[in-house]
Amino acid sequence: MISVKNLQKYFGKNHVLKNINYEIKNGEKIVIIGPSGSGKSTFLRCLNLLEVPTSGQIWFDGVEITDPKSDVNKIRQKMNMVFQHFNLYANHTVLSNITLAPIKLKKISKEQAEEEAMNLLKRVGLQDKSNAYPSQLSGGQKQRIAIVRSLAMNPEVILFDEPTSALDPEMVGEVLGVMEELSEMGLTMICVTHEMGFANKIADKVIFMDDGCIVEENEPNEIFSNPQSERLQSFLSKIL
Amino acid sequence: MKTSTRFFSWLVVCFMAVSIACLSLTGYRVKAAEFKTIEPGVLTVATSTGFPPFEYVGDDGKPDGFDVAFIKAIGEKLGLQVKVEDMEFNALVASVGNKTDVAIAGMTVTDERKLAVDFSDSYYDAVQYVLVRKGSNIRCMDDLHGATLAAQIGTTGNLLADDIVKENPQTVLKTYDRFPEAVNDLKAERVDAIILDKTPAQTFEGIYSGEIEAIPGDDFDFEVEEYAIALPKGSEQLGSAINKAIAELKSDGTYDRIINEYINADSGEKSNGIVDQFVSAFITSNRWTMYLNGLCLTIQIAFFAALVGIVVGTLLALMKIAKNRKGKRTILSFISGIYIDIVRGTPLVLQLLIMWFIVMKNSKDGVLVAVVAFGLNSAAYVAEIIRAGILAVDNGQMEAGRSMGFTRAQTMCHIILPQAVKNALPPLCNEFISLLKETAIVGYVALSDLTRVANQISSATYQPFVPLIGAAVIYFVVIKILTLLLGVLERRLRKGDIR
Repeated sequence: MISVKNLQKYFGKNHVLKNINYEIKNGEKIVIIGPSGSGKSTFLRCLNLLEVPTSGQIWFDGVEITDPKSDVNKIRQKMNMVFQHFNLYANHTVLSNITLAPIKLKKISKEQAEEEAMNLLKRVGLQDKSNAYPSQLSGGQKQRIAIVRSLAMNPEVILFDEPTSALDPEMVGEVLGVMEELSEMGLTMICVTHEMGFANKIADKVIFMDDGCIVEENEPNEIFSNPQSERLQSFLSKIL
Repeated sequence: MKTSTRFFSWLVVCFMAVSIACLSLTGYRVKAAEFKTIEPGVLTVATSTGFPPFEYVGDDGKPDGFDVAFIKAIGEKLGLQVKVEDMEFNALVASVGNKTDVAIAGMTVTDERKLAVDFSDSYYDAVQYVLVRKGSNIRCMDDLHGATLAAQIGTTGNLLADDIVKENPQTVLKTYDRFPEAVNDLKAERVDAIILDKTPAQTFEGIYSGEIEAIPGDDFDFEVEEYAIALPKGSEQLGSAINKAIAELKSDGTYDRIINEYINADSGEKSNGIVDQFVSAFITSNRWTMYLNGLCLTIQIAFFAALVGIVVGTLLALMKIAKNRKGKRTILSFISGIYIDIVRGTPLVLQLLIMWFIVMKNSKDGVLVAVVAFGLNSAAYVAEIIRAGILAVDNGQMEAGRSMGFTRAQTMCHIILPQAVKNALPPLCNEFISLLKETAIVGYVALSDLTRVANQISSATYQPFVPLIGAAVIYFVVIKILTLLLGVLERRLRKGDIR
């Protein structure tokens, strides 16, 4: 579904991604782990072109999205992103945050979009917040709304960029709960996280990145119980 | 991002189209049988009130005085309707031939003025007088050397004073837009002597008898001067028609009648107590309606200029931050940067005069010119305010919008700009307050806004105190109301921030 070929990314002289090659199948749950500065987030952001790759190709549903002629906005409608800092539209209510893209981009009627949004809000237990503004919500609530905002576009893929890293510890659970529920829906999910328990529970594949390269890739129990490389062993020993 | 660049290009094209449309609101000229006027059948006349009894603002709020009555009589002879435009004295010569047909404002024929305009036959011989404080020891030319002199800018008195300054660099010359202010400063000992024409000098002496006195120019070896009507260069048919009319008016007794009506009668009003001053500044001949009209004009110009400023300023801000697909700055941000630099780097009053006399010289609608000039000026400041507002919005908002599939332009429009405007509201409020007050210079393009009305009334009453304080109070009240309204708007926009 997504295939990455010879992906390179430089920030100035800083070589951040060094020739990444990877294939992701439809419905797979991929978790990317690794130390800070290893290129995890940059890799994720290259997938929907928030960062433009310096060279290499990315194919999505058989379309080369790195081709300048491809319509990046159409692609992003099918491949949303959930951010570490939530990035809810500060000038819109919760309901409007969720319905803005379906109404403007998918031309769905306002009534229908709001009905679907309310259904999604019920699933994450936030239906009573529909008229609140983002600044009135807790971090965990904001992140659950951000996930609902992505779901409202019916995407094929959701990219999660450290979705729980900015949360108080007691709020991490509520967001991971929602993500676990999502993982049972058949969506393709690619998630950068430091929550190893969560990775172990939902991931089909775990990727360990270090210094701009994919160092190890395997099923979660193999990665966590039988790490091959020295770098992964030392990384796991520090965080577990 | 390609589409967004195209979107901004369209905005630029629209912006340019609007500018060109504004500029091409040109006046028209129709050839009459003998001579042409700017408007067919109408003689458009420039004058500068504040020079009684030749020209001042009458009780009906319109220019009146000897010159005005005289040019109307000439218009009657020529079979033309006369339309009088009141402007600053030093704008008169430049206006003749493009904004107005002729200028009559007690203007003395000088070689320098002859370079720019032609003159009719002289219709009045005048001699310059010197106004001094009662008991002053200034009595002859030598006494003027080294003194502090005053004159109305661009007048003969100004030229004479310039000569004195050239001869004796110790002499200080202060120039004024109007005589009442100069007389006020004479009484306040800020200046020692005012050089001005005989008739207004005697009028002022009559009003402030006991405080100031007028000394004939003969004592200072001033030469007799001739007042004439300024005509466009090379307008011989119009000139000879006017000369013929002047001769007829002198022979049929109309001229003497006007002289008696205006110059030999005391036209000044004198009021001493503060209540009397208030009555004469506001109530006599319904002068309060003049302030009201002036205020309406001020608000009208400020309002439409603010609209132009917001629209053009937002476009400029978007141009300045426009980036191409690779995240590089584009030619648009370069153009916007240059525009902002030029507008912020030049005085507003010059921009207004350039717009009036050069860029839109064929437009007769002073309000339109003022709105365009103030609007385009304000746009440069608004652009930077909006840009600061945009930069203050967290970059995550743009990323969130883009990652949902919105284009850069859609994200700007639905998510970034509303937040940017909210951020920018306090400085924008500041800008609109400045704009409202800056409109006080539209007197340069012959508009009677609140400030000019206050000046006109102080010219008519010879008492600047009440009209100026009154105008200041009116400005203050209007701006206080504006501040309160913008405060309400700001609170409403901030409702998303309640914690």
